[in-house]
Amino acid sequence: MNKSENKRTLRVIILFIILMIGISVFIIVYFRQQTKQLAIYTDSDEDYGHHYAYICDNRDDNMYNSIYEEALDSSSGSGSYIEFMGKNLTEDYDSAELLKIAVYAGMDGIIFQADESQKTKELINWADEMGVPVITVGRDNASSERKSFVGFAYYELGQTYGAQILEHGTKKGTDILVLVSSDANNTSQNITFQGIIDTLSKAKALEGINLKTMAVSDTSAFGAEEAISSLIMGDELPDIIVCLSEVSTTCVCQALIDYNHVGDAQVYGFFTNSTILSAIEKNVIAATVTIDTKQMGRYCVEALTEYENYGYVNEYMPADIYVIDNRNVEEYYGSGGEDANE
Amino acid sequence: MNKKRESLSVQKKLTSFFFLTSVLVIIVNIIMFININDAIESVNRVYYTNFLINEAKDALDTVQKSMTEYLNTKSTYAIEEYFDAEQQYKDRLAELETLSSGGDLGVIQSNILKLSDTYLSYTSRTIQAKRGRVVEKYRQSYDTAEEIYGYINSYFNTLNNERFKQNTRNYTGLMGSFRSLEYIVITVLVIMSVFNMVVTGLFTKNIMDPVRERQIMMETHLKDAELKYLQAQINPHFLFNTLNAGAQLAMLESADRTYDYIQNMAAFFRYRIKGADGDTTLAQEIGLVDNYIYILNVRFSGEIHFEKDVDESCTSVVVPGMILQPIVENSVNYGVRNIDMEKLIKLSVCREDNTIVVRISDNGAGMTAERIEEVMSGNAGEEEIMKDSNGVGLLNVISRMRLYYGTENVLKMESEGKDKGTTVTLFIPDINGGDDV
Repeated sequence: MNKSENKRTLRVIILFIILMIGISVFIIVYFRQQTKQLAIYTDSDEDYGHHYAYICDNRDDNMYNSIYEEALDSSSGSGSYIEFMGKNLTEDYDSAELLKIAVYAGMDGIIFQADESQKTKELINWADEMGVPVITVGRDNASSERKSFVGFAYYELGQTYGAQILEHGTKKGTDILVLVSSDANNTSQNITFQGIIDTLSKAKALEGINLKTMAVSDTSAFGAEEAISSLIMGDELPDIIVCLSEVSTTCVCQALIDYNHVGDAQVYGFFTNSTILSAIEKNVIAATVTIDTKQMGRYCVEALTEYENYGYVNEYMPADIYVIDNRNVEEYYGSGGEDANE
Repeated sequence: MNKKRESLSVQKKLTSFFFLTSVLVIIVNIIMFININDAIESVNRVYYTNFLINEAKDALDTVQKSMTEYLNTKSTYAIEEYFDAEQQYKDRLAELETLSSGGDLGVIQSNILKLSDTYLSYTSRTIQAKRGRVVEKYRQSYDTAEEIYGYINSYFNTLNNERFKQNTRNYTGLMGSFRSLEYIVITVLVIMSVFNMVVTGLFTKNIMDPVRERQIMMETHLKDAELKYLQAQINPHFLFNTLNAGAQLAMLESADRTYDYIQNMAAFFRYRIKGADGDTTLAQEIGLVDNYIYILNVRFSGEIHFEKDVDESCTSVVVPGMILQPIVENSVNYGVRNIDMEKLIKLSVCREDNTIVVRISDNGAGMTAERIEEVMSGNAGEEEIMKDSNGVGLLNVISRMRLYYGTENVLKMESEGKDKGTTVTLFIPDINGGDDV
């Protein structure tokens, strides 16, 4: 009896020692794990070959965010880093100031959403003088010293809208309203508008059609929403609405639902987000024309790398344009399309 | 001897047990302390980055201020202050550079360093131009430096904010770790306590049981003997008073033999009442046998011959009470009572090695080997053996001696066969180791 009790005691002690060792190891591992998770201990000082700046007007714009994401992805493969300028800064600098910061900080290149203004041209030229190459993205400043323009053909965009309108069918007296940006420097939308006119004209569908534009502000706070709400609620709702920006498209989708005018106007939007895709799926709007932002992102990095390596690069690198309507919306919904553009 | 060995092992067991648990507690506590120290160290470092950023920002402000001061006054003091500030700012930047961090913070930090390089080159250019009195140039450089100063400040603010956010997250994380550590420490302590209680329980049970068991059994047997004896007697006060009265009467009548008889009887009963509850000496035990034989001889007209061969050096040994008389009583009742020849009972006490050997032999009825086996194994039935005795049986004697001495070999019963007499030998360990010799 004594021997068996001794054995039992010994077993309890051994079990306890194992338990205590287990607990101690657990404590050490657990605690180290917890402290390791804290950024204090991060030593991952990323060393990148080239540091590029990415500058756009509206840092919340889905399209430009999507381009940036892809550019960042592409650059990481070549050991470079692209910084979305101004995104984390406490002060809200405009594009011109961000470009200056990028130049003073000695970046290796700048991806810049330009405009056609003289001031922008001077800035780009100054950056070039300071030895920092500039690639324009989305919007160009053709007369500047920018090395390349990564964008899409605005005329082709207009043609695509025109084709969509023709596909829907027009008749005499059809009112078509194109919502354009109130930004005076944004001359590219004029080309798009011309593309629509030319397409309709070529199809001899322009006669008797009431084609008008309405300027909405994409940049001022709530400006677009107010203007579009007034339009939808107004007495003269056009038969066809063409939106040339993502913001105006989203506003139109929402306003049609809110003011119960779904089906009263044929809407062609620009770019995608979950609201727009959902609206296409529910036939609130007919279609949206979108750009391959992944392609644009890749082109930006390619342009900078090519210029870095060879000292010259293609002046124009256009991305593909797609139409999303209820026949192919499924492909974009919840898959690559939404990911890329959200 | 056994008790000594037992207590030694108890001491050893307890010491090793407490040593073991103490070592475990110490190890666990050391591990806890190491972790706590690490955690405290981390907390101390949490806001260190903010401190460094603010230091660098202050140094930048001083550079800008001293440069402006120099442009305003061109004083030696201002230029010295500028160079001092410039050096300090560079030092602070070098410190900041050691705060390696990836992601957005790393980019901000890198921008600060690059912008600062540009900024310092413009401030130097401004100072040089001022010294060379190139007014247009120093104004231009100053404007650019001021512009970059604004940008750097903005980056510092951003870095400070981001670091603060991150540090606050770290702080919250550390507090969480502390809380978990607290729970772990409490859990470990509870486990340790429960373990200690369980093991202590097991140990003490293990250690205490044999001792306690022996003690309880000893007490039980003694009580049993005492109870049975008391059952067999009348009120002792009444008995002694009666016997004393008888002794006085015998003395008055000059009946010396009657007087001796009554005295012996009184001594016998007194011993049994007093001495049966604990230890006594062998001499007293032998005295009791003498009394008993005397009483019997009066009763049986001196039929029983009693011979003693006692080594007096052995008689002071301490023995449990009531171990000889019951054996002698057995010898009388089952051995010599019914024989026709001379009834002889011999008692011898001698020392053999470290054992005192007490032999009680008779020339009576004797026993077969089977019978001896039955009696020794307790199969004969205590009741049967005890029916004519005064209550304390042979098995009771054996049990008490075994418990008392902690050994099995305490009593041997021998007989060469029927009518060949019986010898009972008691083996008493000489605990004093022959000191009395």
